[in-house]
Amino acid sequence: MIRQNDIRILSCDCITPFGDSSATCEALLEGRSNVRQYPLLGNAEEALVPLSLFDEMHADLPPRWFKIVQKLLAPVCGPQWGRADTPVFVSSSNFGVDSLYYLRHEGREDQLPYAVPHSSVEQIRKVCGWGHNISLCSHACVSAHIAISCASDALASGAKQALVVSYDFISPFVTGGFNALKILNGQAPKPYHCAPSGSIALGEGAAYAVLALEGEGPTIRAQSTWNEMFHYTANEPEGSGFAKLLEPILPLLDKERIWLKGHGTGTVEAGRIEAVTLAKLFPQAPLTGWKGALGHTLGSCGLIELAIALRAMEQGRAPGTVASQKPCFTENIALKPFSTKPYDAVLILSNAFGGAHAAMCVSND
Amino acid sequence: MISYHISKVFSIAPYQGEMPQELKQSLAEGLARGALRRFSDSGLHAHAALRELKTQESELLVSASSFAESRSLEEYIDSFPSASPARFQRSVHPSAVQQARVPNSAPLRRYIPLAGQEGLAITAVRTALASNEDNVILIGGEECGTWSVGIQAGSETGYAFGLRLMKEPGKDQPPSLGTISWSMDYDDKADKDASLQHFHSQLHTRSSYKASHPDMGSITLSWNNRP
Repeated sequence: MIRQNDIRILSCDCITPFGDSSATCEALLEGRSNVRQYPLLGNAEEALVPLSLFDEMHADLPPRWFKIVQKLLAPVCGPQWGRADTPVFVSSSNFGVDSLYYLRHEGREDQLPYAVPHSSVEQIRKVCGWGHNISLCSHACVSAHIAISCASDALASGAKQALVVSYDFISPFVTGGFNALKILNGQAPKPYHCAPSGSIALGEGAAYAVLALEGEGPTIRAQSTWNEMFHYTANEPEGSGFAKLLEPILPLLDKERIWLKGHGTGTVEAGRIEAVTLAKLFPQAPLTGWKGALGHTLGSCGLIELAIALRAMEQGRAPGTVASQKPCFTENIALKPFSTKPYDAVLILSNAFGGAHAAMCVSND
Repeated sequence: MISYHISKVFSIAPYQGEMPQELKQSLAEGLARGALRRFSDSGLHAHAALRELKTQESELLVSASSFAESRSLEEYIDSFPSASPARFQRSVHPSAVQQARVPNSAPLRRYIPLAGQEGLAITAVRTALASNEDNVILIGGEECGTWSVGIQAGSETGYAFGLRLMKEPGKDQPPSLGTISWSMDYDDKADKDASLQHFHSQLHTRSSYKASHPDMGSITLSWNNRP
């Protein structure tokens, strides 16, 4: 779809193990990675896998993500949110599913209030003092993009402002699943690196954005989605999904003046398809990916990486593809930080199970 | 207020526990032989709804469910410490629609999977109508959980519905069966129950109703010809 209205981002921030969006952007500009090796399910004797965590996985009350999200959302707490004309959109691929896992496997019945999506969000709603107008969007790793598109629709149909929130934290539920799919192994991720095998790292974090049709701030100029439905966990191998995603918004973009924040998890096939397709469509544009430093923050990656991209544009330098190395799939992969001054906008892409793709183009005016 | 016309309805009656075999067979119509065992109950719901509503790739699909893949989630959690890749993949929230679309490589331009509980019917209808798309498919429902039901983390009732919605009935379009509307205004005389299951029960019996929540606004379902 193509949005007909520009959407203003009045404020946007994230929290990662590095800190807020400014601290995270700074860490990435310095080439630092928070990815470390942790036991797969949190027990010492298990195989090690690359994760970017705030602290080790464990059951806690409230869950260890809760206070981190609460801290992030302090600027957007209050009863003005969650009303008919100020809707809240919360996205996640996990919500509080870690609590359901711990409840079942460790008998932690105290986890129940956080164990399903709506109860998890209800705990956030109560602590933030919001009203009840909250939509929950969950579309695996494009969840945050979907929430932003729903918020955009709400604004176009009369809402004054919309708040988008996304959070994803790591638990054995997630690490066990990605390991079973054989895409989370012992290797550290090197996004877009041309090698016989690759791996992702899983990461955690949260972000929010306040959106409106009018006001001061960066602008979401275009949004698009495409769901390939070619395979449950893989993309169509010729890259048609990326091309179909961008087809409706390409006429709106100035190809010469755009930089690309790709999905780039570190898996070989998906990275190759993405890099090659984007290099064909945007031969002049530098392509960078940050999951080698942050891990893949799952359904929240679109919003977390938007917050970092905004800080990068404010200071005029974008982080490179931290933790990767040559040879890369294409010449336009930026391994080192680069100036954003020659560019007017960034195209932010995410990719999910089912060949779900999402993109948004954001300019700094 | 935003209103869309309803041009087609899909609905299955509520059931509890295991899905009745007869229902399962009827929902599975059109599936390749042997494919049924790869479907969860919610996947079958989605398959039947999208087949009945003849969903096209250019049409917006909105799906709504509080618990989504309850059984796959339960089975996946119980598969630890040897986590099952198939159950993990099926436990992901939009898996039901993927089960229905992936075997036929049937893409969708725009798909919005919603979760939630309180006022989920209002959220789902508003999401569908606020999209401003010409044609929208809205589906929803629950599959029955097992151990998750006892801790209110799964649904004890299975049900499913689907609506084909159009902004304007054109000359080549089917006749309007009724209208569905969303307004930002609260109506204190309207039904307070804006749950998805209550919405389904009204839709299943083709009853007109209005549900409202002070923070979410109101939805109205009205039928042109009651059976």
